[in-house]
Amino acid sequence: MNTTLPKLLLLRLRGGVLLRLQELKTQRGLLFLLITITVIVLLKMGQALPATPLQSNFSSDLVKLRGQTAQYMPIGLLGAFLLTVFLSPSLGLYFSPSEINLLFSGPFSRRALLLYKLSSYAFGVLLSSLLIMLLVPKSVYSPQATFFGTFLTLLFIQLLTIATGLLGQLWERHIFARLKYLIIMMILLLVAAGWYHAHVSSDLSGVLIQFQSSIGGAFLLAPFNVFAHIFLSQSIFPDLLTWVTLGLAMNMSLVTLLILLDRHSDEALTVASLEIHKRWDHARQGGLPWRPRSMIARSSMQPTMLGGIGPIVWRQMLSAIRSSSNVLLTFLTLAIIAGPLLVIARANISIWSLIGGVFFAAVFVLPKTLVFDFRSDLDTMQNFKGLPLSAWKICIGQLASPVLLTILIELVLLGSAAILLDSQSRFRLISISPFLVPFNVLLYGVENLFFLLFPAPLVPIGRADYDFIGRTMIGCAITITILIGSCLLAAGTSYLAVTAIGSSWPMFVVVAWLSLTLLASMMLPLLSWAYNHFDVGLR
Amino acid sequence: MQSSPNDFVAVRNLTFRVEPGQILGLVGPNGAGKTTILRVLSGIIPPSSGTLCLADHDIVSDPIQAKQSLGYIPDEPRLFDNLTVWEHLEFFSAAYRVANYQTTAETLLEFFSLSGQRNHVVQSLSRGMRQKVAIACAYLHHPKVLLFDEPLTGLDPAGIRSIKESMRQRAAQGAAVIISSHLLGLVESLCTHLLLLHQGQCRYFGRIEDVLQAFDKIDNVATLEDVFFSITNEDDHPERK
Repeated sequence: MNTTLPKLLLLRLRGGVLLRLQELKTQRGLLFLLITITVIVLLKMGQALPATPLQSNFSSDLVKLRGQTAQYMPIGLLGAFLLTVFLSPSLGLYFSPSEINLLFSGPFSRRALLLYKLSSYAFGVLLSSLLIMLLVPKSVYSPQATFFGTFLTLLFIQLLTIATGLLGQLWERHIFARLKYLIIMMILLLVAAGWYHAHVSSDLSGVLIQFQSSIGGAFLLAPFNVFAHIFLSQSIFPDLLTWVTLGLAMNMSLVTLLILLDRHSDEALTVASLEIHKRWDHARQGGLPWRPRSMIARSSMQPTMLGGIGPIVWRQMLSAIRSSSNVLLTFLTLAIIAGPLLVIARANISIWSLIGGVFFAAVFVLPKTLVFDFRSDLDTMQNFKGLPLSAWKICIGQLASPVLLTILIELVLLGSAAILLDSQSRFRLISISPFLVPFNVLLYGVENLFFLLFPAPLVPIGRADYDFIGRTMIGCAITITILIGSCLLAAGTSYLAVTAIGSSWPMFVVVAWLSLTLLASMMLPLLSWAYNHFDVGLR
Repeated sequence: MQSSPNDFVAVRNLTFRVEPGQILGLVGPNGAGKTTILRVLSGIIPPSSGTLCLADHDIVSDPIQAKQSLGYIPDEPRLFDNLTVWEHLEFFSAAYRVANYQTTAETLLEFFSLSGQRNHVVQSLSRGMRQKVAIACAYLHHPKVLLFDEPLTGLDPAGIRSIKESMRQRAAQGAAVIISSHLLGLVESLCTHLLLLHQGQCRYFGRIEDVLQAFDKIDNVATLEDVFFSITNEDDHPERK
């Protein structure tokens, strides 16, 4: 490899480190670091606690986990690979515009450029592997096995994805390109058939074992078995060394294949990279990562004033409908069919499991998808700052759309699943549904507060955006802590009130709702303060 | 006024006044503090000290009323991606409480040759067209103060002409206009007054004719470009004085 490119790689790495260190000088950066360290320390402390009866069960679960690793990890990795191939934009190999402009026109061979890019990917994977090694308990896999296993596995999937992309690009030139759709159809049919078989026989693991023992399955899973063995290695020699050598050899073979394939990629790589950059740049500027398909639209409704809140809500609702109607319809459809599906599956779920399911969807799925609030307006914040509207009106307007849409989806989900419950549980479910309003205000309030204090794009920029990964993890931890804390506080207040007054269940519900609403309403001054302090000049 | 985001003093000890009907050209080298001044004036970033009044309203203590009288067109037209041109006009008319905005909006679309793009989602438009949409939105509520940051970037000759014409019209109707630009020819031909900034400080404020005459007598120069380089070079190389 040309020595200039490794030097460039090191310089960029040093630049990244210096940038992070500079960020630590700011109050926000320091706060972010403290929260990160706290989360990691809490995780490690949890692992280091002396054994309790609960932990004994956990330990036996970990032993089971090792057994399941051998059985299911290869299939899981195959699934991860297929998912990466389908989700990867274009060829799976991305050069930034600055790399295209400065390096493609420089005195570097294609091979040198490819190796430079692959080295940068490998470095990103290396950092991920170190982080994962720190977080995975020693009782599950040895640290060395975790590190090498993660590193080689992630690298293999990434290289295989790029190779598939380049092969696909070569294939596109031939008349047989149409076979691609046939293959996708066959895979989908196979998955559907397996799923149906598992449903009829009520034994999903049996179907998976059948697949593994078939000739096709064994062939497909053979490379992934190697990586499962790395994780399961008990000793450094011969176990770990043997499997790591094999994994390394497979990765090196893929690199050789990529060098051969890259000779034929022509300008497709450049075009694909620029298209990806266009999307990422749009997301980096704070826009929605997806764009409306139609370039011409006719408005069917006009904004109402509502003291200035109306136009803000109207604009976000239009944005939701234009850019994410498919996402919204998918969520609503899933919510509608959830109940009937559970009935078909003869699931016997309690009201608390149902609430847990809604909580999971509410915290981990919906707020990350329904981002029609400040989070999608990073680039247009100065438009709001210039409006003759109070901060609290803008904050209410911005929160209204995602909160209303989330409540709608959750109500449909609860209603759909309520068919499983007995009449008493159904009554309880109805009585707690008003909690969705303060709960979601609190949820989106926290999400937006976190965003206004630590503004960042909604999607990862590039393949190894550690800022994004770290922020998402910490953001989720903070949100869950605040939500659970608020719910417990509301329940505790209600319990004390009911104990003091000596009243019953309806009073408990009313006091808890009022307490949660009070806590949720406290988000408004906090959000207004954060909005007023949001520095547009920094963007 | 003084503005010091992140402890860096971007602009210091600046005092100026723009009367209705006047057009002030804000010029200076890169990093002089022009955009910061416009952002502070528009209430987007708060000043660290000083008083800023827009149409007799203090932007810090009475921001809502001050902003009601203000139209700000930033250097980069950041519009709402998913909204059409017409929906932008609807949004801003509702936010600024403009009653019966339809006629004004139609006139603005026609003036800026945007009628054909009325139902186009703004992200499908060129930069120049988006710039015109941003200006149309800013004109909709007939602001008494107009702030332009590099208004002609990305515009075609027809667009440049129409926007220059609209600035003159707005000033003639009684608006106080401030234009930040590196195009000294534009400033010289359009503005009545000049504020020359360098390194965050005012180097000249007054009528353009006066500064040209003053420099004509001293250095025998007659264009704004000569004045600009004369002042900024003097600051950068005081030994040449």
